[in-house]
Amino acid sequence: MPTPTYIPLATLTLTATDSELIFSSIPATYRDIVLVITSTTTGQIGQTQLRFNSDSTNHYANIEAGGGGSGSGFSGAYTETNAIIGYQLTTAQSIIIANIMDYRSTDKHKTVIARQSIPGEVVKMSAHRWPSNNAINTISVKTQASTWAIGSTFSLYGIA
Amino acid sequence: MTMTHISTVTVPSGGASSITFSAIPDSFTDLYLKVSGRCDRNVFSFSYVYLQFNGSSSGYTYRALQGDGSTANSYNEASISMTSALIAGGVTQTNNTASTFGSSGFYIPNYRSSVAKSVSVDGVSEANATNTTQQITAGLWSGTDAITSIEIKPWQSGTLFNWVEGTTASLYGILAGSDGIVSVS
Repeated sequence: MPTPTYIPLATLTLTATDSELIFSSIPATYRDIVLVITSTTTGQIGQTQLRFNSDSTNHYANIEAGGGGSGSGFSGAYTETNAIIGYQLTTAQSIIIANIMDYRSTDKHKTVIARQSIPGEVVKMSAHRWPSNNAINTISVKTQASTWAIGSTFSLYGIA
Repeated sequence: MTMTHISTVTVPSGGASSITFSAIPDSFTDLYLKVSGRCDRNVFSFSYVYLQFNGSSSGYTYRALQGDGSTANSYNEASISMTSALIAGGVTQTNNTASTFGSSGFYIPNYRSSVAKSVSVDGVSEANATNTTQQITAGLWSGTDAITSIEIKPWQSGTLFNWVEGTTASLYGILAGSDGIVSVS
């Protein structure tokens, strides 16, 4: 019998504005986990930042490429105290889909592959590395500026 | 299980001008459409998926980035003069490598909501040749009705074409929820 996958772990739709959410008690049951965010902000365009196990000391390696609808696109790489997986507008909902590979392994750094769709603005793809061999058991999601608007949704799924 | 198969359409011998998913159930959180597509355009190039929600021919905007192995470029609905549908993904054409189909994935979150619908697309017009293109797209449909139907056709440079035999499209529903262990706050 096929193994069920894309198991819903937790979901939250904001009924009040907020600037940080934490997914905690993530079980070491799955192979990968997927975070899906659809959001707008209340004040200004803001980055969406991921942090694992509250670790702000191991700098996260980020690489990205994208296009704004004209020209040849852009690409960049940088190191931050968070994985910068996207940003959101005050208008239409942005989509961020972050695949976190092998999250429970204890013998490798953790890799995230993310896709960001910011309507009317930018489409981006990015990859991020958390330089730690620790299993991920909490994920902090934060918006750098302003707050997420009511109706923004955050859902976590387990991939068997 | 949350990724539930809703329906698959396979184009038979003789081809088809479009593929339509209608009466989409309102029991999921997000939708995911997968397309394995080949069309009858007979030019050494590639095509896109032309997608409409609920039969609507207005309100589509998008930003895309594509690359062909040597050049990358970004386009939008104004630069390719198409606002009556979402143009995204990749479709292989009939004179490209035999038995090869383009692959596209359309993630449609909150399809039942009463706000404009955002779409995230990944696609490639596969071929064992130099005219393969891979692309990512951020799309938006301004319609505020729940999505109840999706229609797709192959398109390139202002012209619609036909799907050829073997093209398949599958629609999945994804339901968010809780396992009772993980908390979020």
